[in-house]
Amino acid sequence: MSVMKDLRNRWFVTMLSAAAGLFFAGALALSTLTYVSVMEAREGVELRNAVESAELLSNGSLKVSLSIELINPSPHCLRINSISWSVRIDNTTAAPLFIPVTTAYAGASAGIVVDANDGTTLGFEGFVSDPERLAAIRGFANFSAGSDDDYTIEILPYLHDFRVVAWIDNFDHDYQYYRELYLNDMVRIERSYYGGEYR
Amino acid sequence: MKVRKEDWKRMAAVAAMSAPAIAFMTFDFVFPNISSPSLDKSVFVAFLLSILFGMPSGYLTRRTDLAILTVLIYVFLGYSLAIVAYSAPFVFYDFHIVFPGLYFLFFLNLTVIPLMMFVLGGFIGVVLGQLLGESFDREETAQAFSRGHP
Repeated sequence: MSVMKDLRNRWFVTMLSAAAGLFFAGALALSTLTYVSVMEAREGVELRNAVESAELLSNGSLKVSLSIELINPSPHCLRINSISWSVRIDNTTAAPLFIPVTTAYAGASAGIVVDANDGTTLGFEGFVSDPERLAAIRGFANFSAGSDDDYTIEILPYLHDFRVVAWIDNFDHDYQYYRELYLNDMVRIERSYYGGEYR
Repeated sequence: MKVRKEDWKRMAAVAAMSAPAIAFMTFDFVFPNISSPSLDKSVFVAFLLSILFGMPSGYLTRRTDLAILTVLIYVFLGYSLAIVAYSAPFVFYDFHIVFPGLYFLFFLNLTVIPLMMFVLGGFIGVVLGQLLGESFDREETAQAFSRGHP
């Protein structure tokens, strides 16, 4: 008896097997395409066009700000888990080693979502009005006046440290066991802008 | 015993129907959070499904040795297909490898237990499939005799 004739005689089981085979082939293809698009997000998401500024206000406070674009070229949205921004001045001449200027943080509760194939501009502003901290910043600027660096308080070498962590879409990511931690990394995106460099 | 050309065709047909399930379950075991539908890394569910997908081998193949060979063939094909899916972003697209250095070892490390389950479940499925086939045959024979047309 030929194979086809035998399979036709046992058509019920053959049809069930073929249908299940097709279903799982489709599921595999769909999952593989999802895997590819997740990889697209992991590699394609980037920070760009950072604009730093510092301004001395009329009331004597210092306003420091950063504006930066988060580009998402992937077909999945990004759910921002945390954004941290800190500004400091590295002091290589004497203690302290650095002068903190300002910091800011936004968590998951902020509910920031970057749509698929889209981008958003993230902006932060910090105001320094603490006299002690302002004095340290002014002292750094005045000290540089005696050296080759002719700084003013607006053009000091502020070091912006900006970090953003996001989850890709709604994929599960709360795995706790050691052998499953890679799944969290799989759908996690972390980008940073530090000292003028994008990472 | 000799394996005829017809037997190879039958084994290929059965393997083609069962291999996608093995491939999907293996891939799902590596990336349960991005695959759909997901078994959530449940070895037990994978084992039960592998018994189910071993049954056609036993049901459609009379010879037990060939049915067991069919199980080995479709597990091999399915596992190979899963490796292709696992490698797809790096082979068919120009993405960087996520886990360089331990690329295939990582995959094998995660899937070696399910792989054994697929083979074991397939063997059990063969036995159940053959029992089911014999039961169907007995039923057909009994009905044919009861109608007076043996």
